[in-house]
This record gives sequence, C-alpha cells and structure tokens, in this order.
Amino acid sequence: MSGQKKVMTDLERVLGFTLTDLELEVDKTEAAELAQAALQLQRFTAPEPTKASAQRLLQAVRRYVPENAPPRFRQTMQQAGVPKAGFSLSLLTLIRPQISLLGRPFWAATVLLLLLATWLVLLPNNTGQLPLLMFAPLTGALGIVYAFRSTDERVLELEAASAMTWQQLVLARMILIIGMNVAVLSAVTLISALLLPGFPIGLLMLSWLAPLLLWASIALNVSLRFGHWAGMVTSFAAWGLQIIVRLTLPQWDLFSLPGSIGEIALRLALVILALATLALAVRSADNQRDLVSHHLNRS
Amino acid sequence: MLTDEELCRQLQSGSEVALESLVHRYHGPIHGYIYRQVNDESTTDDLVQETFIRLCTRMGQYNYPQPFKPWLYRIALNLCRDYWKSAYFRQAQQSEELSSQQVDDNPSVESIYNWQETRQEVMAAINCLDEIYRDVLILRFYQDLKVSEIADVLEIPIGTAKWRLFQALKLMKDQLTTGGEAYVWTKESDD
Repeated sequence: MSGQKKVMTDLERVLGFTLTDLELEVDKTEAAELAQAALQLQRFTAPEPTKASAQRLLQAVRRYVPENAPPRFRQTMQQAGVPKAGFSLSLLTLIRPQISLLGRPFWAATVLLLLLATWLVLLPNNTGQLPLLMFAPLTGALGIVYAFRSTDERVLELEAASAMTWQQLVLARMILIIGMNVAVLSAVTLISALLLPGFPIGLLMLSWLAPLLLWASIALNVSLRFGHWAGMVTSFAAWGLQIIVRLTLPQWDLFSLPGSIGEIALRLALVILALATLALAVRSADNQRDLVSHHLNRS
Repeated sequence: MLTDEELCRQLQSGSEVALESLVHRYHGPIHGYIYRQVNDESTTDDLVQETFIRLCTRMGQYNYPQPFKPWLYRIALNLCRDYWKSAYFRQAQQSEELSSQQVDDNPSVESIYNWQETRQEVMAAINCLDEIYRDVLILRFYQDLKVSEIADVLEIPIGTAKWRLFQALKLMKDQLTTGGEAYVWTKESDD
C-alpha cells in the first residue's frame, strides 16, 4: 500500500467514514496532520468510575425501576370504573377505554375503506349510493368480529372475571364502532355532496343512516343473545336482503334517496327504532350485570 | 448475551437485573462522556446518576427495537445541556476563571508532567470548540460511536454529522500543537 493511501485509510478509519462521502480532497500532509490530531485527542483521559461508585449508583437508581405497569387499556378501564346499577348512561363511560384497544390495523383499514368509498363515489355515472350500500354491512360485520375478538384470543375468561359483563364490554365496543362507521360514512357523504353539486346531503345521509343503524342494532342484539357468529350472519343476511329488495322491489329499497314525505318519515322512524333497539341492548347488558352482582352478593 | 434493546424491554417490565446489566455496560462510557463534557468529577457523578434515573423514569417512552445506545447518550447530552444552562454552571465557571488566574501566579504549575500539559491542552482545545463540533468529536473519538449513531444522538442527518466531524478535527488540528512528537503509525505510513 502506498504511503498516501495508507494515510488516507488511517484517517478514514479514525473518522468512521470515507472522505469521498463529503466529496473532499485532502492531501497527504493534511491527512497526516488530521490523523495525528485525532491521536492527540487520546491524551484527554477521563477517570474510570470505581466499583463502589457503580454500587452507589445502582442503589440510588434502583428505586426508579418502573413497576410492572398494567397495560394502558387496563389503566383506563380502572379509571372508568364500574357502571352504576340500573339503566343509565354511565355504561357509556366504558366506551372511552375501548378506544385504546383500537390499534393501527383498525385505523389503517378505516382509512382504506374511506379512500375506496371515495374513489367509488367519484366513478362516472354513479350516484354514490351503491358503494355506501356495499360497505355499510361489511363494516358492521367486521365490527362484530372486532368486538368479540376476546373469544378468539382466548381472553374472554379474563373479561368474564371483570366487574362488568362481557355484554357491556361488547356493547361499548360496538357503539364505538358504529359511531366510527357513522363518522366515516358522513365524511364520504360530505365529499359526495361537495363533488356533486345539487346533491341533497340531508336526504343522502338519511338514505344510509336509517338502514345502517337499523341493521347494526339488530345485529348487535342478536350478537349479545346468540353470539358473534349469529350477529355476523344477521349482518350479511340483512345486506343480501337489501340487495334483493333493491333489485326486485326498488320502491322499498331503504338505501334509495327518499323522494316523498312518507319515505322521509319512514326512514326517520327507522332511525328512532334503531336507537330504541340499541337502548334495549344497553338495558339488556346492564340487567345482565345486575344479575351477576346479585348472584355474587348472594353467594 | 442479551442485547441492550432486549434488556431495555425487560427493564420496562420492572427487571432490576436488566438495570444492573445496563449500568454495568454503560456506567463507564457515560461517566467518561459526561466528564469530558463538564470537566468536573463531582458534577459528573451527579449527572451520571441523573442519566440513569431518567433512563428508568422514561422507560415508558422507549419503543423496542429502537437502538438503545443513541437514546441513552441523548439523555446524557440533554442533561449536560441543562447543566450548562444552569446558574450553578455559570457560577462554577466564574470561580474557575478566578482560581485559574490564581494558579497562573503559582510557579509550581510548571512542574506538572508533559503528558498532563498535553492533556490540558487537548482539554482546553475541546472546550474552545463550538458545542456542535465538541459533541460530535467526543461521541466519535471517546465514545467510539458510529457516525450513524452520532447522527441519531444529535438528531441531525448523517451527512451533517460527517461534515461536523471533519470540521471538528480540522479545528482541533489548528488548535493543538502537533509538532515535536512523531507517531508510530505516521512513520509506517511514510514507508
């Protein structure tokens, strides 16, 4: 190896990168001086800590070792507390902790669905209803799977041992997911209205809100009573039924834009019916907890 | 042997054994690093302790498998910066200036060994450097961090870290008296 090359190699080894990275041209003399300066740096020695000082350090730091902190979900559930007995909105306090369960895949899937739905809406010769018709029950079904995932992940027994019933937990998650679906579809509707001038935004919203809430609330009640597979089947059956109705009896298609006062009234009534069904599910879950409490108190 | 990152994960679960291992691995390097930044043993001990306390209290912010070493050095560097900003540091600096004037009047200073003189020269030269150059210099030449790790600690692009490192060495070369002593490897290079 030539002297020039050796000096450069040594300097580059000391620096930890090649000089060509910086597009620098350094002559042999300067490179030697730089490397020599680097060697001189070694003169600045630092005292080595003793074993005793390491022990003192450990003693001082040990009490700051993090305790085995419970997961965020458990912490927020503890903060939420147990819903009060009787039919009350206190059950809704359980919803907030469920948000911490929503991981990145959930948000990613939501964004993907939103983008897909927006793209479908923007397709030419499309009124924007069909994509909504397709996605509403699909997201509902996925929501049911998500809400009941504890059974698949074999942690249901943990939930069963908690102060609130699994019905309450499922309900809280389902309400969260239905709320999420409503938010996503509202966004899609808004985009549709903005991109398609003259579109009746209120009527369009009613056209998907009524069937979505109705089928979701029915599916939720079925899920709570008969399990999540029954809930999913109900959700898809409602979807299939809706498609059949759309093809054979379009005047009864709930996803169509309401044209008359009667049709608007019908959809509003369906929304109210869906909310009542949801309330029924809330009450059912609440009663279930009271039964468990009563049983525990007696025993 | 467990990696630093795996030890960190265990520490997150409250393992004292993991803490002991990390202290065993990093007490010396962090002590040396902080000492070269603050040049005071007593302050170094305090800051080293504070570094490891922060390591424990901020364990919740560590995301496995994020590299541990740059993260730890960043904690230490931030503590040094806090120290420099502190009133205590400014006070200490003033009293040091005063005492150095007194020492200069003392003829016994001339009796110190050559290596000590050189050490003081290097130390003074490093202290004269701008903070941005001093940081890269210490991390590279004393802590033996890779350029990518230095960039991570200082939260700067790798290219910037390389450039600062080269400039820092040039500045050191200008400040240090390099004559008088020929290094073995230099002789070999000329062969």
